[in-house]
Amino acid sequence: MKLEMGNIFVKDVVLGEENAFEEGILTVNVQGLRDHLLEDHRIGKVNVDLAKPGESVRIIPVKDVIEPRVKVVGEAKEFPGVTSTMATAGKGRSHVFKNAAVVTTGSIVGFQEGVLDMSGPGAAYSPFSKTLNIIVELEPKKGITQHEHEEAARLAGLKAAAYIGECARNLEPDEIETFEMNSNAVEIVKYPDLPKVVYLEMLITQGLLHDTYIYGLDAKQTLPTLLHPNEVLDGAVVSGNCVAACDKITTYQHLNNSVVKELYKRHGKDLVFLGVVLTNENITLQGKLRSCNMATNIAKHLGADGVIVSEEGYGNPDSDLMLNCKLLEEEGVKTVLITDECAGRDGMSQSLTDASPYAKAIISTGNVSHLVTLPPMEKVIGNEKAIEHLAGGYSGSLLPDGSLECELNAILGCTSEIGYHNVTVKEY
Amino acid sequence: MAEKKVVYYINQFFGNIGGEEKAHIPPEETLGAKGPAMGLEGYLQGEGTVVATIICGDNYYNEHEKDAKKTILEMVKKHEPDLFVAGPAFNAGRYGMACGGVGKMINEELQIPVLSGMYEENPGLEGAKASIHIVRTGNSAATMRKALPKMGEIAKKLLRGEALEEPKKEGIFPQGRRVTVFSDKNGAERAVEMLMKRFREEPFETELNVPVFDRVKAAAAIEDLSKATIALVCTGGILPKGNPDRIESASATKFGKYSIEGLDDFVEDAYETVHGGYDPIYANGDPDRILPLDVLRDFEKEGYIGKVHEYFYTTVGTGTSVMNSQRFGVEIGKQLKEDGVDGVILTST
Amino acid sequence: MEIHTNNPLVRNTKCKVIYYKRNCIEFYKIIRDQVHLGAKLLSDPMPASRRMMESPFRSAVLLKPKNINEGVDLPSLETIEKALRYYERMRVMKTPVDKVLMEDFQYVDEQLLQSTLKELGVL
Repeated sequence: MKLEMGNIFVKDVVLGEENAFEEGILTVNVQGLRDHLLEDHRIGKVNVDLAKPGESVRIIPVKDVIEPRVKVVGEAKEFPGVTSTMATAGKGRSHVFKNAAVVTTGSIVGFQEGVLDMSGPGAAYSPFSKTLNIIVELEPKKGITQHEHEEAARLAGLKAAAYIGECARNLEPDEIETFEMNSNAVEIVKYPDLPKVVYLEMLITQGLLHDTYIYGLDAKQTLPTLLHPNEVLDGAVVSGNCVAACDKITTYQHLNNSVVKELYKRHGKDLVFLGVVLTNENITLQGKLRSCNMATNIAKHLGADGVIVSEEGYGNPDSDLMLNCKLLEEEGVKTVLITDECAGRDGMSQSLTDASPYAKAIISTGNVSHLVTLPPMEKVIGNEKAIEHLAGGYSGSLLPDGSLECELNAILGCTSEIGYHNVTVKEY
Repeated sequence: MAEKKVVYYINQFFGNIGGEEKAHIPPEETLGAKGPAMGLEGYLQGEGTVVATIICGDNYYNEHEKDAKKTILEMVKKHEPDLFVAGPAFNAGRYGMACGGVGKMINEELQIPVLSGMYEENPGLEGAKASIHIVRTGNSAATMRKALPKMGEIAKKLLRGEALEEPKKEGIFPQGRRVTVFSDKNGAERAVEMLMKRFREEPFETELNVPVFDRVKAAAAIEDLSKATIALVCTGGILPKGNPDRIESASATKFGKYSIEGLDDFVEDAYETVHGGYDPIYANGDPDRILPLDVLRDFEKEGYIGKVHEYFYTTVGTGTSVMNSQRFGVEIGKQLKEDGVDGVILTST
Repeated sequence: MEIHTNNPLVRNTKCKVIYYKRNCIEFYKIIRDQVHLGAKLLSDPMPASRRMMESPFRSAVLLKPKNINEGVDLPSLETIEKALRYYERMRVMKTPVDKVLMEDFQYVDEQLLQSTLKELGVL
């Protein structure tokens, strides 16, 4: 399978009356975008704004982040099975507006989180403080259910990214990134001496606000599945996770999955990348056993020498993480787990809710309970009231001087368990 | 600038008062540095002075913990020290428990940094390492020459208020505090790099140590209790009065095996507890409260159980090292199995 | 199959619902006691995110034993003990729950339960 990403580097974004891209400046047709999104009768109001790196701007609560792209050659359009007809993703050519992101906001429930500061100490904690963000504030029509609201908001973000991405169709990319990998049978013969690696990606799949979609199908209803890495990079996976801001895999991060990219980089040099096994995180105990057994069996059947296992979320999914590790290690497959931890404000509590003597190689992406104080920002986009309910402060997180006290848990993308960001933990 | 003050804690042995026979002495205070405190003071190179040394018998501390702590706190408080140092205890269990216990208390009550030194298997390490800084030492006092300079370096940093570097670099045990920092590589890069190290069989360091819980498989249930031989085992320190085998009241290095053939009941005249970790009044008043021999004999007479095993096993379960605990368990288990015992009432205290 | 919950929003016509007006720790202990009496846990009562851990509402689906001597299901016991131990530890660091958010927490817990029941085939 061969996928070409035509990357177009965006230097600045402005709001205007037409979609255009000239000399690095992306113009977004605000009215056009609004009208396009309001076609969904569940949406009552759409507001478009901008937030750029270095500005004194805070966005809260973030629902999802999506990269603006367009498919120029290939059967599958953006987000097949979701916003376009089902077809295999990962082939042909896409044009991508790099450094730009669509950020949707809107409170589906009061405790939803996702703070994004574009400057100040909070900026370092989120990878999205570095992107030029086109904020799409969505308000639902009165009377729709939370389920309808979530779906409408999810689709709106994807549609907005496609709408803006369309502008890149006839542009000449600044660079072409090629992702090409044949079948495992061919690749293994090509590199017989290199160790074989599978990426086991755990996805949150437990219900409202805790969902993920594979080719549009609610992943709660799927069995572990093997995908070609190109499919993941090309829109096969979409996020419906609205709860844990710090470690939710936003759609943007699915499209730019850091583990996939790193394994791809090393493919043919240090290792043979056998593909991505997507697995779900069930609530039922039988479901956990089923998914963990099946997912690890796929990896073993492929002949993996090593597996990188990433998690999404915290709490009961830690059991799945440990079980996946055990089922692989006890058959001699080397694992490295990527997870964040909840070690308490003082960092002294046990980090994970489960343990296994097999879990000897772990990458930690940060302590979600670490408390930070963020200074007041000149502008807040989204729902200012949501600030009061962030996990962190004792009687609301707003301090008298307007600063915000909250745990890293509330900061978008901070402790990404697909290793997207560079926050980690040292033990003292 | 006022000179920094250090108060030091040592046991009867390092205080040159005596050995085991003096392990019962209550806390006493001398002004200035005594024993290892003198050595440490030298390594402070003028950055601090040991204003007082407190000497306490290891057995006294372990058997009168509450009183010992109270007395020691009063002794230390009045000096208003900037740093408290205890030990090093190397692998001495009771000394380690004392250094750890006293150190933790001083840290909590006086909110000052506390430093000690222990060997990795010292039972005093676990309970104290989160509160105090403990330098890694060898397992015997023969390594004092290496331990003191290390302690001196850390002591200087603590007195200066300097942040300590990573535990491995400093040669101290990690306190278990997870501190969030930034890395120059993202998590995915670090993950793949770690996997490559595993493939190449190169040493790597996990970023998160997961606690390992020792799992012991439960034995199958006894099918017919009326035919079963049941043994009594405890870590509550119940043994014949006078403690003929000299089992220690803390950090026990042995267990005892005693005959109860023909005995229906543990009476206070003949049996006692030597466990230093709980108030012994009720155990001494009626040792059956720890080892329910009287009830088991009733069951035996009724035919509810087959018989009571002729020996009981005992040790003291306070400050016992994990290694010794495992050793006792395996040895006692082996003997019980060989003697045809089917089940055990194991009382921990 | 039974639904045990401390969430007043939970209703179900196909399964018996047992409601306890108790806080999370008390609720977990009740479930633990049920497991000791032979019940099997069909769902994991620990949430999947730090934020949801702060919710005081929990629901669990249990399978009652046919007779009391069936013995204890160890995986169920491990699961509830883990949830209880972790929540007790978190109590030290958790923040008090906003009354404003109580309704939202109830709603999401109830919705997550619906997903669980769907997976178990009882919806």
